[in-house]
Amino acid sequence: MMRTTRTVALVLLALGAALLAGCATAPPPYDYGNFRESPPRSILILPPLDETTSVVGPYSYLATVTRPVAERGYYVFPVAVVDQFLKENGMPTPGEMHQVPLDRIRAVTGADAVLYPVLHEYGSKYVVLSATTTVDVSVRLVDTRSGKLLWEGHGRVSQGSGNGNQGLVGALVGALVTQIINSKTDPGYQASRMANAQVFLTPGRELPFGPYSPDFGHSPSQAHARP
Amino acid sequence: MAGREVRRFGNALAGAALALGLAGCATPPHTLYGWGSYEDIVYVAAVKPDAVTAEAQIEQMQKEREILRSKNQRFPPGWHGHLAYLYARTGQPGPAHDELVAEKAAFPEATVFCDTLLANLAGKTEKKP
Repeated sequence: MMRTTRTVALVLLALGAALLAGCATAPPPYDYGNFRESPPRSILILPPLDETTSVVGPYSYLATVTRPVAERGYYVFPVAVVDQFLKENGMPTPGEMHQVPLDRIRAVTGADAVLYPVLHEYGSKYVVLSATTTVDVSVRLVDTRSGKLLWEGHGRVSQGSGNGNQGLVGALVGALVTQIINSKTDPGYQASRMANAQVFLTPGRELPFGPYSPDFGHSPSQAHARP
Repeated sequence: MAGREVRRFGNALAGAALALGLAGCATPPHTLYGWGSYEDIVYVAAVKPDAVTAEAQIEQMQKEREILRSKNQRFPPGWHGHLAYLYARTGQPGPAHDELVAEKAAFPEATVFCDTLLANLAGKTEKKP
C-alpha cells in the first residue's frame, strides 16, 4: 500500500517535471497587447531602410508589400504616391522618411499606423552555374498617436534558380509594363512575395486581421475554423 | 459499336470537364481585391519610372479598370490614388482630381491624404497662367 503511494507520487513528480520542461522550451506567445489597445484601420508603408548593396532592392520590395497588408484587411496608402509626396517635401531618401515625426505624418495623411521596413539582404549570389536569391526583411508597425510598437515581423527566403518562379511574372496581365520587370535582372521581386508571407502570416505572430477582412475580430485560429 | 464507344468516351470527357469545372468553382481566389498587374505598375513607377512613359502606364490602368469592372472585382486600396498621381505627372489635373475623389469615396481612411493632395493639385493649377 505504502509502496504504491510512493510510486504514484514519483510518477506524478516525473510528469510535473516533464510538463515544466515543456513550458520552458516553448516560445513565449507573441504579445498583442499594444495592438489590441489601438488596432489600426489604415497603414502607411514607407520605403525600406536599405542595408543591402542592391540598387533596385528597396523600391522593388516596396512594390510587393501593399498586397499582403491590404489583403489582411487594412487600408494601405498608395506607396509610390507617398514616396513621391515625401520626396517633394524635402525627404529624398528612405532614411530621412523614417525620421519624419509621427504627428506630422498623421496630420498630413491621417494614417493610424506607419509600417517601417528594413531590408537586410536582397539579391542573388552566383556560384558556378547556379544562383541563390535571398530576401531578408523585417518590419515594425508603429501607432501614429502613441508612438507605441503595435506589431513586428521578419521574413527570410533563399531560393535557388530555375525552380519555376520566373513563369509567374510572364503570366501576369500587363504586357508592356510586365515586360519591363525582368525576373532575370530582378529575381528578388518574386522572392520578396515569399518573404512577405513569412513576415505577415507566420502562425502565432501574424499580423491580425484588419477591418476590411471578413475575418476581422477573429483570432487567426478561429478564422481557419470558418466554413 | 465504334460510334457508341466514341460517344461513351465523349460522355466521360464531358463528365471530367464538368468535375473540373465544379472543382474550379469550389476554389475561388480568396482575395479581397482584383489586383491585376497593379503591383507591376507600382513597381515600374517606383523602380524604373523612365522605362515606360506615364501615358502608357495610364493606358494600362485604364484597360485594367475595364477588366476589374467586367469581373465585378473591388479596386485595391491606393489604386485610384496611384492613377491620380500619374494623371498629375502628365499635366491632367481634372482626371487626377476625379481619381482622388474616387479613392476617398471607396476608402474613407484616405480622406486626409487625398485632401492634402487635392489642395496641392489646386495650388499647382492656380499657379499656371
